Amino acid sequence: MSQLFSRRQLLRDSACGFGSLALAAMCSEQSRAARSPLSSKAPHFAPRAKRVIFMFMQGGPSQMETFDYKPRLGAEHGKPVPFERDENVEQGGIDSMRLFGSGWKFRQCGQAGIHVSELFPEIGQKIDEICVLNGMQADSLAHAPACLQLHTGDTNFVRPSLGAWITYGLGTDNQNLPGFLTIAPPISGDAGNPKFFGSGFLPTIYQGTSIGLSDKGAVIRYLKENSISDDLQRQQLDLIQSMNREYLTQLEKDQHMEGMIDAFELAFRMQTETPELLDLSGETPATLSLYGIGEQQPTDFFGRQCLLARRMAEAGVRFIQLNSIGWDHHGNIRKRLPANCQQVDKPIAGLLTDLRARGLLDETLLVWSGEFGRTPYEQDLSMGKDGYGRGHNPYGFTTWLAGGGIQGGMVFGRTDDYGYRAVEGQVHIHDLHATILHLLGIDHEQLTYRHGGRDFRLTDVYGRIVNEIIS
Amino acid sequence: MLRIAILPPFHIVICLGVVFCVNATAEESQESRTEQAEAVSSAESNLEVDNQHWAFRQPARPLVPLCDDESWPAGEIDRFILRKLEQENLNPTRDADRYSLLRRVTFDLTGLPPTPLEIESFVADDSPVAFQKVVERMLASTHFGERWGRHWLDLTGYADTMGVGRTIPARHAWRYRDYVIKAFNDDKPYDRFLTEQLAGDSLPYEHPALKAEQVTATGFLAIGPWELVNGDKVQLRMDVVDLQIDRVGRTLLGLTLGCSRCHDHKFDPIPQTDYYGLAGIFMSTTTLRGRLANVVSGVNLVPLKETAGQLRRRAAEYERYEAELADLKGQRDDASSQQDEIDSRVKALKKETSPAGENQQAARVESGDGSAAHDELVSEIAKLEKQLESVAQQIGQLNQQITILEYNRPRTLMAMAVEDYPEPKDCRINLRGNARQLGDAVPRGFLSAASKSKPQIIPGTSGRLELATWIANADNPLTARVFVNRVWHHLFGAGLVRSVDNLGVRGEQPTHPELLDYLAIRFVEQGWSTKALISQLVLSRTYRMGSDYHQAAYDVDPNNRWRWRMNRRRLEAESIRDAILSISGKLNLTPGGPSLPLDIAGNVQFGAPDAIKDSAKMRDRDLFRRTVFQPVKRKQPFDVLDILATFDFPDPDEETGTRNIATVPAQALYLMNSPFIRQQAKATAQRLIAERDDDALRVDLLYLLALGRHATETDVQRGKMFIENCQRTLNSQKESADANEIEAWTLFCQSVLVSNEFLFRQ
Repeated sequence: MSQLFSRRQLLRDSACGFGSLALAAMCSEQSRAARSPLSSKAPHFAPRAKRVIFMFMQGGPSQMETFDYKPRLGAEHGKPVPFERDENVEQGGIDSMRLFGSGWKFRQCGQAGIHVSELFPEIGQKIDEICVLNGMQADSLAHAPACLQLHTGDTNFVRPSLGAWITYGLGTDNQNLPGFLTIAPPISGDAGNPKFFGSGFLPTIYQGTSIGLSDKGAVIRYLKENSISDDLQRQQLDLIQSMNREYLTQLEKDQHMEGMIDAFELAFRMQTETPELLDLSGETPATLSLYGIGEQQPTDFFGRQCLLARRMAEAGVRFIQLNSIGWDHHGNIRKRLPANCQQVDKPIAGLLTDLRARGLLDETLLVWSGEFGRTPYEQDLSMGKDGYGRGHNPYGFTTWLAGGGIQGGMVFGRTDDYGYRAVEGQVHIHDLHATILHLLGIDHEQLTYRHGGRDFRLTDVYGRIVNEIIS
Repeated sequence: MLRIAILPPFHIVICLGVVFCVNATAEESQESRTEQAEAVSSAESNLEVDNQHWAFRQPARPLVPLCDDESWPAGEIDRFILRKLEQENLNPTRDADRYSLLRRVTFDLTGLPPTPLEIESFVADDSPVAFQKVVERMLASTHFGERWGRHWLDLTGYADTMGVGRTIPARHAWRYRDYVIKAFNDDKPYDRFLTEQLAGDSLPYEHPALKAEQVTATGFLAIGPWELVNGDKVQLRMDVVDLQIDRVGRTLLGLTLGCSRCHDHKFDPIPQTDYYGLAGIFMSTTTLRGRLANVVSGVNLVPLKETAGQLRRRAAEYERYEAELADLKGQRDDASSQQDEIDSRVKALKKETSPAGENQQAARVESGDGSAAHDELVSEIAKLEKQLESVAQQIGQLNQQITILEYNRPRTLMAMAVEDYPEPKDCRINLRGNARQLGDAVPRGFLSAASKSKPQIIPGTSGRLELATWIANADNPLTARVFVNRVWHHLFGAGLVRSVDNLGVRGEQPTHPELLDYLAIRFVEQGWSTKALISQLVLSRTYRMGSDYHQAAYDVDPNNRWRWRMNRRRLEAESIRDAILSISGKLNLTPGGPSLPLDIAGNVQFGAPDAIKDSAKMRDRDLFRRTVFQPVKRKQPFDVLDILATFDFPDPDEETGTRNIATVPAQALYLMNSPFIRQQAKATAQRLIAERDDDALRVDLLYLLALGRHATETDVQRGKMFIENCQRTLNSQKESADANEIEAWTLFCQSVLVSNEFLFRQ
């Protein structure tokens, strides 16, 4: 494409209003993209995955009931805890200190015969796509810092989120959509926080855009003002842009003001493109049923998240986060956990199937994780009114990965016989981050941002790439 | 010829043998000992290099340079700037016109736009001191403190809620915010300001109000993103100390001290022992106290000494409260007895209608067997049951009102503040930052690299007062430099050292080191007066330059490091919001006081601990107050304040001296589609229509209000044409000429309010 028009010239000469300006801007995609901070950037080395779908299981799912098979814990159920705990740590309702076995059977699934709980029958069938990390470790046993660590690497200070780092490092493929989308993110309570998709000290353009999901569908705030007709808003945009253009002409050059003019253009395109992306009405009944989408179905909410994730992956979004809340089972875990598992089991299996069928799985990295796991001993915060649950446990828990670059049908790492502490193949959150970046072709030690006179990175001074799980 | 006196660098004597005494405990592996040895030797070599680092040397009084063009400088500051420009073969751009200068200085000093009257009078004032008069008026205005106090709050993690996970109301935090605003309005000397914030509780006082003020000042250390719910209380305490050290280092000294929790600073001469010397001071300080609920820690609260007047007022308030409470309880009791009465009547009637039980009655009604009298009874019962329902509802509401009233009962005045720990002691090194792997204790103290004088800590105290004395001191090479650089940053859009929070080795070099030292020394000599400093800066010709673009200058110096023009800047979030409200005529200038709407039933989730609900509503009367007085909620702000996060209002958990200035599509979406902008545009439209009869005059008034200048002929024509076109479109959609006129003007006003010319200050 020739450089016939400079941007200023284009703005000055374009007399036919905003629509034509937007069109012209799209035609000169190359020159525009060259300047956009979101334009696609080359990774440090050949990537194994192009994008990430990060499934956050908020609250800390129990590993002993899901992917970490502990027959000895079951056999010693009710006996006193045989290992030591840190006495300085306060956790309510754990005075009895008795072991608490899983109430569910484990089945050996897939070619490798990996143990998966009967609570995940559908995911169990997909286990050959999945690498289970049973030696996960984190630094904090309180939700807020642990969640911050899972999302930003740090427990105490404000840092950019994983998705923001990746979007900063790689840009994004679709310039009409944000590069980082998060669906129904938890923002309140101990385990909710907008920082999970924040940009910290990185430029705000890299922060995640939150998509609200309700019965009425998926929405982005302020995307549309329904009281103004489209043609009136078009007229208004023409006026705003002509004033801005004239002002810029007087001033000759101003990066921020040019940025604002671009922002109006992108916002205008988002107004048309995003509703199409979020609209599931064109999907076939077979697809909807694959994801468990349908009124009254317990899988509907997370099913829609998963289907939206597939659409976003196709549309070229770099980092997609899905959020399932309520895995914090301090009480009555035997009754409540199955409901949580059911909500996500079929949708996740459906997503894996669909991505595989569309040839997208090999270039998409899927991550399933809570902020920590749970204790193998019982907890009762209800003074006997409710059933037993489990406390927080950052010393050993389960995360799993699938898709681009991942060795499927594999278990890596192991906890002790009770599922309390990782004793082999430990993978710290920092290591998980380093590995995710590595699979995307990013050297986690090279992806830095200078802030306040210091070069920061996602993994701070830590991070080991878990090469053992890479295919 | 540039003539500057250079003093020999001040050499700091550091005894390395004493500084590095990290004890290797038995558990430690040989490997980590080797690591430590390496860290020691690398820090040693850093120390040698960094004795030369400019920021650790005392500011040197420079000679004011002579310039080739003696006609340009209006004062000494300008000479430093011009001399450098001349060396770089650059010319200062022409002065800003009066309209943009007034808009600039009004936003910079008060955070508000100039009023049409102020514009007219300044433009018409031919006196040589016209601008000086404007500056004096602004420095005397209480809006000055509201603007500059907010700059300070950016550095302190101020918020009206506490906890990281939960939204627990910090109902006393506002006193610290108001203290900061008042300090700027009173031009409290900066050294005094710092001392009060670090150790106001230990300072002598002459009367209760002063004591209260000094205690409140320590909110600087007490308010922050503490993870109160953390069950690991050892870790929590160390995390709080870490954040406090980080805040003191960044805000007051321009250093990143946080790194040294786990290891010697990689770049600055800050060994781990320095960190733990400071940590001992903050470990000996009570920041958290007691529990708000089971595992949830509380922040220390200190009752404030009240004046006789305050005590009288509170007694009167309490009387009113008791009367109101009695009234509500009376209403509830009345409603309850009414409830009992109706209830017993219903029961009696039911007995009457159905002596043999409900089934038979139903059967009778269905078979049409019932008499007219019976039907009447049935409808009477239905009526009473409806009444019963509404009485129950009334009781529910009254109970809610009573709960919220009791929750807000007049209390002893409290401040979130710190105090000395009863048994102050030194802190032991946390090996690799682990609060449970302890090394040797380090005597409490200050930074070895930047110390000339080291006050001795009085036994039995935390050492905060001595820390304050050490920082708020002309001998400290960092304190004054850091502050004048921050002020320069706010006025000129970039500091003389661009990394305003980091003057350490990895921070940026000053562009004008002599000017920085000149300003720092002057600042101290003028009694650490912020207003004198600001006045001096804005009266300089450097500040009065235009922001015009020059290709040649731009090619040489695109980032304007040498100040050949004024930096153009987007307005901060609160200026955008306050200006829009001021233009629409809705701005409420009531100052100070509590911000959280805790007196609205339904806003508070009572429990352990109490929390502000996500759905909480703001009080109507507070909706349009200045942004600085709006509640700052950690995590999710109130919906009605969405504009703030959209335009880079800082996350209170992230303490920073430079705000992001992002340009993102979310801003455009907000400007086009948010109810706030739409409503204020409509209010502006109504104001214009009410205040001016003629379309051209209306457009002109809008431009004066929003852009600080008159509308040109082109502006007027474009505006009129847009409004006509809109009206035509609207008239074809719905018939209501008046409403359509307002709608068309609303769209026009909105367009001006979201335009770049409004959003940026030249």
